Amino acid sequence: MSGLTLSLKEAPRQRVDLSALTSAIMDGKTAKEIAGLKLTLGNRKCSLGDIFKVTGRPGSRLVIDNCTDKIDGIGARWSDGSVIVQGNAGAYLGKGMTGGNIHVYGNAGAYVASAMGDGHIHIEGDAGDFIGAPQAGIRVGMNGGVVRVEGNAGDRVGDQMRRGVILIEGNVGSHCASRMIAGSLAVLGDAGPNLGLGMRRGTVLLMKPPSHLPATFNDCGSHALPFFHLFLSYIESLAEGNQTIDPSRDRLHRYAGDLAVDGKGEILFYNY
Amino acid sequence: MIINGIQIDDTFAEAFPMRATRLIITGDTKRWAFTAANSMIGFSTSVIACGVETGIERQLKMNETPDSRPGMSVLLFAMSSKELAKHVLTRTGQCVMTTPTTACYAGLYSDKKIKLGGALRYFGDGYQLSKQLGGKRYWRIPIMDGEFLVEEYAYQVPGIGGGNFLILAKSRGMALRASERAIKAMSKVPNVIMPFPGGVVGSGSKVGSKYKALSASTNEAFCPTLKGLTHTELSPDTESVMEIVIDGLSEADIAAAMRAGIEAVCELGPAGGVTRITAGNYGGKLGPYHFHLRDVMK
Amino acid sequence: MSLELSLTQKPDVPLEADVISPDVMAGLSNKAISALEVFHGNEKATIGDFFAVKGDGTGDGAEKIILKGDLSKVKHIGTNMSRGRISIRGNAGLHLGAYMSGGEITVAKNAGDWVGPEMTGGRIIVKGNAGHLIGSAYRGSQTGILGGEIFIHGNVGNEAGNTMKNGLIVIGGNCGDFAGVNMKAGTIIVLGHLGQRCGAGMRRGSIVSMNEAELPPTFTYACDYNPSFLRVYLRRLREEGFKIDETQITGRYKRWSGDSIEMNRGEVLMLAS
Repeated sequence: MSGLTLSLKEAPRQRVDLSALTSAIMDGKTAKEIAGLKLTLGNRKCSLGDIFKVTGRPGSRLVIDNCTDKIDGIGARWSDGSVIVQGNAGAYLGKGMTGGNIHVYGNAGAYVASAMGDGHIHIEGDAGDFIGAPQAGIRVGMNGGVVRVEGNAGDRVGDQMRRGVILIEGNVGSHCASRMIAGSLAVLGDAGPNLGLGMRRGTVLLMKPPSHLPATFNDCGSHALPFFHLFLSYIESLAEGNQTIDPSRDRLHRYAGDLAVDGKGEILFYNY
Repeated sequence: MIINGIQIDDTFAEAFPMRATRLIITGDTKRWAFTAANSMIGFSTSVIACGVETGIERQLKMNETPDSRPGMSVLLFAMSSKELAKHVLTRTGQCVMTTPTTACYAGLYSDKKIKLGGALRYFGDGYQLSKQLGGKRYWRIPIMDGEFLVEEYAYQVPGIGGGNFLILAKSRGMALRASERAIKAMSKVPNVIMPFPGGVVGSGSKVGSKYKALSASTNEAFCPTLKGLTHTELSPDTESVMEIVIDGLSEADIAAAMRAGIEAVCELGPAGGVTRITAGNYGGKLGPYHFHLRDVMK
Repeated sequence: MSLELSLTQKPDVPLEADVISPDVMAGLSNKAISALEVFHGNEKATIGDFFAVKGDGTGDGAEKIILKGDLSKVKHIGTNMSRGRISIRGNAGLHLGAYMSGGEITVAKNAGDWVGPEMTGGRIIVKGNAGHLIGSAYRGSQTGILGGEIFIHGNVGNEAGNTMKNGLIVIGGNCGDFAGVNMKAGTIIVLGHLGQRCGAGMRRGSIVSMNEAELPPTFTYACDYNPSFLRVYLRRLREEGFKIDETQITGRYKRWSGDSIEMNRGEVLMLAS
């Protein structure tokens, strides 16, 4: 498999914005040309080759070795092929991604999948705040694609997301699904306070009753609906290897909200 | 009113006048008579979008049909004579004549005629033959499987559409079991059909919608998933509601069908999971026929 | 209440009794009925000369007229009748029910020629045999019967249904030659055997036979099949007391089209053996 490998020469002390390295930029370039790509390191400009040792040839695969949480914007506007991150990733992982996939063996920072349009992001460790949320000052949150986090995630997961699916197999912090416009979000662990605050539409799935819900969510009772089976089966297929999901248990309790803003969202959970 | 532990609401089903007719469809075998009838009653659950409401009234034994073959009795209801005539003709032509071995006869008589064979005969392209017997005229249309026999006219009578009741239950399975039981009992009542699929409505509607183009939309007060979101008619333990709609030839027929259905549900008792039986109406302003559940069950 | 006429004197020559009809006798007293004019050969006579009249035609008395005795020489019974019933307990003479438009005539024994000529409605039932030209047009007339039903349980003679345009003729026994000759439409069902040249010159209409017959050469064979309409007809005939067995209802019939010297829209259906 042809591919390019970037290996950190030493852990940078300032943040590196790697978002210039898109799959489109790499197309048809040599390793040397890639090494000459200008990046921002802290408040100064430098070449990619100053920070990374570049080997291989650009192709359908980009591997980043020894990666640390200082490397932001990995896989930004990624449209085709794979990104493999050995170590941790910084903020804005997969920002504006439109296809392909990103696999992070460690943890990821904040704003994973911000403005993501399509593709698949898989984080084996934990992820930070604002997964699928729009970058500050921008209105476009996650608009498609799939994010799977095997560990825990921070606050504001799914904030203002519009489409796509986020699966957190661990716990999430506060304000999960806040201001959610639509889309689906499954949390297999615990959810923190202010779950779904200001959500307009969309679905949040939990495996057990939330410890706290805003007062503007109302009880709609337990149901065994065909959609639940479908949804659970899909989440099960995403959570490969995770035994938590059982689609045959398709009877879920439903809360509708947030009634302060439309209230067509729903929070589903097992109540038994 | 509580029957066998199941609450019967003090409310009424509101129904409308319709135009109705009955057709008798026969075939060489029970299977093909049923196939023709089943095809004819396709896509005709509600006049809202189908234009006509139909159903199989019952199966006819060989000695009950005009030609001693197995047959089916089908009832059709529409909002106007014109609409009824249109559907009787198109459905007989497209669904019955096309089904192998069938024949089609009027199943009731009145002084209001609907053209049946009288219009279908032109399919014979000049080779059609007319036969008169005992005051009835038949058309024999030569077709590829042999000959399609169809009576010259069907006849329309006043009918009533929209008799109904709602079954509220603790789970969807329980609501369905109760509904199936009701339909089984009601299918023995003559002169009525339950026009919805299998006789049961999963998506009962209210009049009107927030969208101007729609004349009907989901009945959210009875939607269990919206219990927390809107004004609801449902108690916290109600998880599913199914409606049974009845069209019949007279008020007495509809009342008899409602009674048979509700009785069958109530026989299940509270263990069957049915919590309440109620009915749908529009406040009594629109339909002249009111079936008060407690009168029906008296 | 009914009116009863018993033949007291058998006429030497045919008696022309077209006054024996509910339409004529309705409202008449016993005496007035006895005084009704009939022709005995070429001589005028009255009903009372030949019949003992019991009852009268007032009220609904004339709605059922019972005739007793051998009336084989009494012609034109029920001519032009439009309603009511005439029950003939013996034989009936020629021209029974001519031009009738409604009501019912039953004959317990045999009837003569010309049963129901040019009738337009009503029903004639003959339990025995009948003669030639049942349900026919009179000579020189354009059309035969326009409607009604003639049920003969026995045999009939030639030219049954000559030029008929509508209506139903059923013959329980055998039929003579030229059944349905020049037929324009309508139905003739023969449960016995057909004679020669049936359907000659027919334009439309159906002749049904339970036995194979020799057809004019201007007929062409179409197919064997079980016509649905015949099931309806035969069921009805069974209710009328004809002996119809199941193989006749469910059986296959040979369909011949004809007569090709005319419009060729007619058919002869013969039960395939």
